[in-house]
Amino acid sequence: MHIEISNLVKEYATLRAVNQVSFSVNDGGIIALLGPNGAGKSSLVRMLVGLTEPDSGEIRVESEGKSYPHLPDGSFGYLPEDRGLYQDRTLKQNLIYIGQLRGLEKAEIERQLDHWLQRFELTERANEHLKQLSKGNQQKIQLIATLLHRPPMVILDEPFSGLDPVNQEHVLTVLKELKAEGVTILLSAHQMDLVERLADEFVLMNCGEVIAKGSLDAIHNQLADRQQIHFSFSRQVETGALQSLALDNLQSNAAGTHFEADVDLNAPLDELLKQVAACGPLQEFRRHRKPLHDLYLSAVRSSTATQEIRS
Amino acid sequence: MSSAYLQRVRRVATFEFLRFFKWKQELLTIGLMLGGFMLAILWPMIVAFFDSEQRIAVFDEGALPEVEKVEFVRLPPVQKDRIISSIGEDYDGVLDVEGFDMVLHVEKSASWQDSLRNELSQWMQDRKFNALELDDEAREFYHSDVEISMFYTSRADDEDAESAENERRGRSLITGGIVLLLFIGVMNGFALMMSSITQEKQTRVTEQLLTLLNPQEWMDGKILGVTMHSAKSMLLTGFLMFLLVNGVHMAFQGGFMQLPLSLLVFLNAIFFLLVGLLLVNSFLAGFAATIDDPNHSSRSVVMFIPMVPVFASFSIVGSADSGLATFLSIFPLTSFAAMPIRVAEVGVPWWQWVISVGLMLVTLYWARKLAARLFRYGITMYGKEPGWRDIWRVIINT
Repeated sequence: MHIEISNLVKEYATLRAVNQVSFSVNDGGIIALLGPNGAGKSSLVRMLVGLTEPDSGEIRVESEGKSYPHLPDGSFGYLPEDRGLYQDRTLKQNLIYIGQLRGLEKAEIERQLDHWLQRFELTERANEHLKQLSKGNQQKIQLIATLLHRPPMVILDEPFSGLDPVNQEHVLTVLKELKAEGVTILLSAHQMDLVERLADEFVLMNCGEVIAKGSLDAIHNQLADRQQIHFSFSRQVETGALQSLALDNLQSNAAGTHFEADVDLNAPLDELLKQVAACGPLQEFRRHRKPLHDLYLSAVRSSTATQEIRS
Repeated sequence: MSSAYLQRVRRVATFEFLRFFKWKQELLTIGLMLGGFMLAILWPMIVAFFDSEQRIAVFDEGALPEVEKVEFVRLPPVQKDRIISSIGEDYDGVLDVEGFDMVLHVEKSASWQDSLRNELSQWMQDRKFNALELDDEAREFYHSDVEISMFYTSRADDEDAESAENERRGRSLITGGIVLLLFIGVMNGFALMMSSITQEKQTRVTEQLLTLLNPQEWMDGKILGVTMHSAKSMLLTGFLMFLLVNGVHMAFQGGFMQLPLSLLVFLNAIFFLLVGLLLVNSFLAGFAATIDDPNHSSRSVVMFIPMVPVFASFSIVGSADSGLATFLSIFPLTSFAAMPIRVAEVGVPWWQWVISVGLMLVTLYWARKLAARLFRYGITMYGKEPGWRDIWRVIINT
């Protein structure tokens, strides 16, 4: 399955929720939609699953030799941002109902139920009413409802919200397993550390627009204006020896063995490595990538400022 | 209509029905209804059981009246003032009779005095009649019952006028039952549809399910499931009422009650009531879909509109051959309530029946389409209720 999104626009009354968004989703990877509240992620996802229609632009889904204007029925599992199930029904009743509506046979529903309830450690609670479960466990049931029919693609809007760190790791592991099975995953989340460990590609959005997209390296190249390097020597090195190099914000530890500095994004690191090595017995030289969280924050701030100036 | 559509609608309908059908609650309802019916029947006996006998002192030399639960005690006139001043001690009242005038002295007003006053009035009436000193023949003539014999020209061959009259009473009983059952069905649909849809919106089930089935399938399933539940409530109540009425009939008059209910009238009533419930529930589903929070929406009042046909049908019970009844039985928004009454009471020309059914089915088709459109429109507004202008636009476009 391949999804091509081109110049997508969606407006609600006076608000342009999605503005000229374009990106593509390839088979088998994990793509993360990132952005603050109101960035347009959920609006985009709703168009993708066919709940709403775009005002302009195009979604083209290529699946099994056919082309669709949104994800075809049964080909995906969807965990919406506005989620919930029937509180006065048991876990089992809820999931069986979802499975039946998916068109699964009774035996298949039972088989998948056994598997997923066990995988999320909820087998013992299968006959409890949903309202008796904690928010985190309800979230897990919601995820099972999304995965029950083993779709080739899953769309998860905030899959980690409401989960404690242990369960966040649990869900992360399950998503990695799905990826290993070849399932394509499109997710939006605020937990940058988790997303950074999980996704292959990223689409950063703000105020309805894409501000960066691609792999982590590509995002760095698009958003970071500087890069940071860390290096260390096996004995003390005078800072003065390093002052002549093209290093900004040079800092060292008290022993004068470990250093970090900012360099220009396009600076030739091979050349710099040779120059640093000439200053002393070099032990380590590595580029330190800014965490996605920091990039995300600075990019969103700068994008919001641009939007405000524009408006 | 594809098999996938039918299968999904069936799944939703079954789920909706079972969501509201709870065995414990059903048994409790049956128990409470039977208990209530039994209490209503036995109430006069219970009241009579707890009623104490009243003692009334009488100062008159003539014959004393005979009244149940009242003991009349004749006393010499000299005691009258003393007894009157001590009412409530040995006697509950004093009856002072002078000629054809009576005064009943009591301490304060009480419920037993109403029936006593009626009985005493009758007793005094008889006393006046006896004073006329008529011979036996004149007395018998006066006391003979006055009867008005009915002759129905449409039933000229029927020799038994009494059976025709009984049939008329039976038909009224049936039409009353139809209206009552309809009331139960519509109220049930109102409660369930409202909670079904608004609860889903509030517990945020909607978006997840809409990726599994389209709004039309979902609405059709809901309408069918809630109608099944309403029909269950109607049939259960109808069956219990039937048992009860026959139980009372058997206890007091012996044998089953004979109702002029043919299979055709019964099937016609069932058909109209079921289609009517589908129609009402389609309307309720559409409007419930435009309500976000029933506790804060002024639109909830609109949900009572489907009660109008039920109230309208009350007005034609007993006058099912009137022009209004004919109109109501053909107009598609009231025909489901009026037509079964007309068919049960007076019979209907076949062409009126056909027009009525045709219009009703077309309206049902339109109403379920409208429900799905309103639902689809409501959910795309994400947290905001559609305004009246939006709703009107959807109605016109459907």
